[in-house]
Amino acid sequence: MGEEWMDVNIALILAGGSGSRTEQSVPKQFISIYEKPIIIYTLEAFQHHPGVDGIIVSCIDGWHDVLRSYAVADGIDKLRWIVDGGDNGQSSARNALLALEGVCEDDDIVIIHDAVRPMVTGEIIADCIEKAQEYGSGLSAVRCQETIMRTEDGKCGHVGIDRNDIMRVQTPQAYKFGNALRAHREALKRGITNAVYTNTLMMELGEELHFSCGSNKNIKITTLEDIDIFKALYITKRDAWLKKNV
Amino acid sequence: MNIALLLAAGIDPTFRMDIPKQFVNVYNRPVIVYTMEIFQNHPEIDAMMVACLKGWENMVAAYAKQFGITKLKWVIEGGGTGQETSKIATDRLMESCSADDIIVIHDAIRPMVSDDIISDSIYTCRKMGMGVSAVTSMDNVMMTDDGMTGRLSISRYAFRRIQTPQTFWLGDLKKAHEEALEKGIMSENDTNNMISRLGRNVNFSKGSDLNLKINTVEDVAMFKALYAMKNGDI
Repeated sequence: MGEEWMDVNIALILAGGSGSRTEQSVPKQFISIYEKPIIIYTLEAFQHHPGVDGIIVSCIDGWHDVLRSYAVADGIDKLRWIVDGGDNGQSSARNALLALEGVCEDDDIVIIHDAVRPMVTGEIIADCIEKAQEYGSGLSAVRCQETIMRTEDGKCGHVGIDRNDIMRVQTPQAYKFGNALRAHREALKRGITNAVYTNTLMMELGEELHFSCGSNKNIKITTLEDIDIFKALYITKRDAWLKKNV
Repeated sequence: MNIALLLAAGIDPTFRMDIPKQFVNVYNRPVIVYTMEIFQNHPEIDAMMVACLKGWENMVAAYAKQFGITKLKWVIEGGGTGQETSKIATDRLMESCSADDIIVIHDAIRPMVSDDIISDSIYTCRKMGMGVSAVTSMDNVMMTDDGMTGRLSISRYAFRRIQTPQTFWLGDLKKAHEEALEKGIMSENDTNNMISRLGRNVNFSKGSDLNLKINTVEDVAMFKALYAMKNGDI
């Protein structure tokens, strides 16, 4: 970074998960699809985005060298830091934010994103950053298209929420670095330790949260079925790209 | 007897094509044919009814014949809403079937439904009185007033996203429709919404994110890719 400090945008990738739900030995973010680990698809999206200046990954223990090698092989040269992942989204994000302390200024922007959401696009990232610059937060979100039913026991349900009153919040989520770090510190102080995403912490602290443009295709890969869906989305995307170049 | 009711009466003005989405061709046959094939090949399904968009009945019957959908017994004209179509179909089935028969209602535009999901919907109905397939959301959810800012987080475990199939006892469903009419509950999108507005709980059965609903032209491409994968072509 130069002497003249400009506000920078850092992508913070959550890759601490061990993949217990997919029941595979390989953590899901490292499962290879069409000869490439899922996390590399994700990193490519941020590597290729002009608004992103650097990347930090909180990575599952024992996979740091693997990640570094794949990143080098794929030309992900924005990857600057790899830190230890925690056992959930909150601790993974916190570890990375603490590592950025002293590196980032309060007004810099961190774009927090799941390693297992490889379908994130340039448009989604751009809008997320833009909203954070304008309002202090940008949470990529989508309207809910299906009928929603409330349930207490998971076995039966009743209508209780109008689907027009809710948004499904995904990642990326962008915040001012200073606010995000403060929220995570405050959460620890208050004994909140199991939040999946930073937005729930921010909400607890009374921050106003702004939505940015998400996508139904920006799926989170958590099961084996999701891998099939990702493959299908990827093939479809590739086809669309091919047609444009005929 | 277990009867599948395929809903194909809808017309979606947001779908940017002249052909209604349930009849769009994928690998040279209409989407609804894929859905019919799944129920044709399912051992627990005895008969099939298609509630069709007016003017497309002959096409459905012809393709069914072509593809050996021998379980297809009725092609009827559907209504203007999901609830109305469900009622028309129920009344029609009660003429030749019994109250103890089971009706498995399914969107024609969900051609990726699995045998498992259908079986679980029927099983749940036999055990609990109805089986409505549902999935947990992988995304976090926030309440919003304006669609721009969020004000409250809801645990993703506190709700389910509802899909089809939705399975009921035919006699129960007929009664529910009569009751809805008396109470002035009309034009609900889905049968599950009607049931819930009658003050009853809806019992969930297994669903899946793979059980894609074709709503957009992009979803058609998505279905093509999923179908090719299912057959080991990719």
